[in-house]
Amino acid sequence: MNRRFAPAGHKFRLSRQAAQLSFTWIRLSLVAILLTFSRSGIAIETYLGGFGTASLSCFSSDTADYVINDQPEGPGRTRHCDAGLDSTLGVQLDLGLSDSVDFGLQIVADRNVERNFKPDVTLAQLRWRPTDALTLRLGRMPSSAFLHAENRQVRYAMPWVRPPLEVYGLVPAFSQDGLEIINEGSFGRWQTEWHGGITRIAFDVAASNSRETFPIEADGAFLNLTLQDRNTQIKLGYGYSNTSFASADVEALFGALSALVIPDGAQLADDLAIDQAATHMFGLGMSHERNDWLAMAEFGYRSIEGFFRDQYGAYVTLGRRFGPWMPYSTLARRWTRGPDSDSRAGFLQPQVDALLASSRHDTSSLALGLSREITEQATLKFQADWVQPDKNSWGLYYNHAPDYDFANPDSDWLFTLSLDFIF
Amino acid sequence: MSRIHLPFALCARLFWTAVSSTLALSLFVSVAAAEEVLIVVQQDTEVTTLTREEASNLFLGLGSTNSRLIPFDRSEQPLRERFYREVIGLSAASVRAHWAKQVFTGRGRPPARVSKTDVTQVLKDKPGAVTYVAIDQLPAHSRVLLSTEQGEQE
Repeated sequence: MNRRFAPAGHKFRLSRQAAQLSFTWIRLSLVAILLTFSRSGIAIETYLGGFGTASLSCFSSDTADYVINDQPEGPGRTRHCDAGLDSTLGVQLDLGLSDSVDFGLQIVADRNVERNFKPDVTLAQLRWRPTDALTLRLGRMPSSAFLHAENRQVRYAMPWVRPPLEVYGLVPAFSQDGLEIINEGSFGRWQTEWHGGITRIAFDVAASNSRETFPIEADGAFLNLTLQDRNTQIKLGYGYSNTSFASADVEALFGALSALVIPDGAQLADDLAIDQAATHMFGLGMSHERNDWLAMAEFGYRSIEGFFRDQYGAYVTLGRRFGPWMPYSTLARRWTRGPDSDSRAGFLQPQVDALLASSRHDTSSLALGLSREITEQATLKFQADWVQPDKNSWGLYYNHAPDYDFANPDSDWLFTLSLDFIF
Repeated sequence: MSRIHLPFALCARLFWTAVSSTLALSLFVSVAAAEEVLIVVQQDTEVTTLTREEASNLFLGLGSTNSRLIPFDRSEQPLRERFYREVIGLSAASVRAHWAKQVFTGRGRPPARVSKTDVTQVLKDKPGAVTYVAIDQLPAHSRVLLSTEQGEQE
C-alpha cells in the first residue's frame, strides 16, 4: 500500500514561494508604516517579546514516526529520541502606531516541512480598533477554530506539552492570510467575541517516506464565537473553504481511471479529486478553571469532498494544581467516517481502496503529565502518551515502515520532557 | 462513527484512575486561611463600586469593562496570588498563562506592577488607576471599591 497517497491532514505549511512573498510584503509594510509614522512625529509604542520550548521526545515505535504540524520526521522509526518534535523559538514585535492602530509581527522557528528550523512568519497584521467593540485585522493571522489554536505555538500558555493531535491535527495550518472582523460585547456575565473573516491559505504537504512536498491551496471564510468569563471559556467555530490538492501519484491514478476502459471511471476520478473541493471545519470547546482545578474538552470535525474522508476528533483533559505542580491527564480519540472501498474502480480497485485507506488515522490516546513552574516565566513539563491506533489505521504517524501492521497496529509510548518559557 | 473498541475502553479506565488519584491527593492539601484584600482607587475617582466579575474582567483584560479604570497589578507575590485566588478565582500560574495567550495573539498586555511603596503615588498621579492592597495597608485618600469579604457575599 502506497503511503505517498496519504498526506495526514495535519501536515501543512505555507509554501516556500508564499513565505518569500510574505516576507517581502511584510518588510515593505513595516518600512512604510515606520516611515509614515516617523515623519508624522507620532511616538511609536514598541513591545518586543518571545516564547519558546526546549524539548526531548522518545517514541517506542520502530515502524513509524510520531510527528506534529508540518514535520516530515520525528521520534520513532527515524530516530528513537528527537529534540525537534516540540522545540520552538518565537519572537513577537508589536508596534502601537496610535490609540486605535497597531501592527504585530511574530516569527517562529520550529522543524518545518523542509526538515530545517528556518523561521516562518506566523503573524503579521495591521489592527485597527475604531470602537471599543470593533477590531479589524488585516494580514497574516492565526487560525482560530479551537481553544488554543491561536496560541498553539506558545506551549507555555497551555497545560500540556503539546495540544492533543487528535483534535488540533484537524486544523490545516497555524496561519491564514486575509481580513478579519472582531466584535466584542457582553451577554449576561459572559464576554462575547465574534470573529468573522475571509482567508487564503497556501501550504506545502510533506510526503511520507519521501523528500517530496505537494502544494495545497484553500480560499474560504470563517465565523467563530467565544464566550468567556473569569473561569470559563466556550468556543464555537465554523469554517468553509474550497481546497485544491494534488500529488503526482494521485494525479496518475485519476488519469488512469479516466483514460482506461472502466465504466464510471471518469466520474469516480472526479468524485475523489480534491479540486476546489468544499471543505467544512467545525470546532466546539469548553475550558473551565476554578481555583486549582482545570477541566477542558473539545470536539472537532473536518470534511473535505474527495478522497479525504470525514474526520472527527475529541479529547477531555483534567488537571489540578498543587502549588507549582500540576498533574494532568488527557483522553483523546480520532475517528473517521466514509467508505473504505469503491466498487466503481474495476481492476484499479486495490489502488483506489489504498487511496481511501490512506486517510484512516483512527487512534485513541491517553496522556499522563506533570508540570512544574520553575519561575514565573518558565514551566517544566513531563508527559507520557500511550497511543493505540485502531485496527486498519495508519494512526497519526508518518514514515511507516513496510512492516507496520496496518491491520492490527501495536500500541506505543511517547515520553516527552520539555521546558516552556516566555521572555 | 467508528466503533469503540477495547483499547479505548482501557484508555478510559486509566484516565479515570488518574483522575480519581488526583482527587484523592487533593484531599490532603491544606488551604491557608486568606486575609482580606481590598481593591482601591483614589478618593476622587468617579467610580464608586466594582463587582467581583468587573474586577476580574478588568485585571484579565477581558472585554471593555470600564475604560475609565486602569488596572495596576502588585509586585508582591503573596499578595498577588491571594488577589488572583480570592477575586478572580484562578491560580497565579493560570493568570500568567492567560496573559501569555493574550500577549502572543495580539490582544493586549498585562497590567503594570507597582510595589507597596509606590501604590499611593500611582493612585495620586494616574487618573483612574485601580489596584489592590492588604487590609492593613490601605493608602491615604483612597476609596475601597471591593473587598474580598464583600465579594464572597455577592
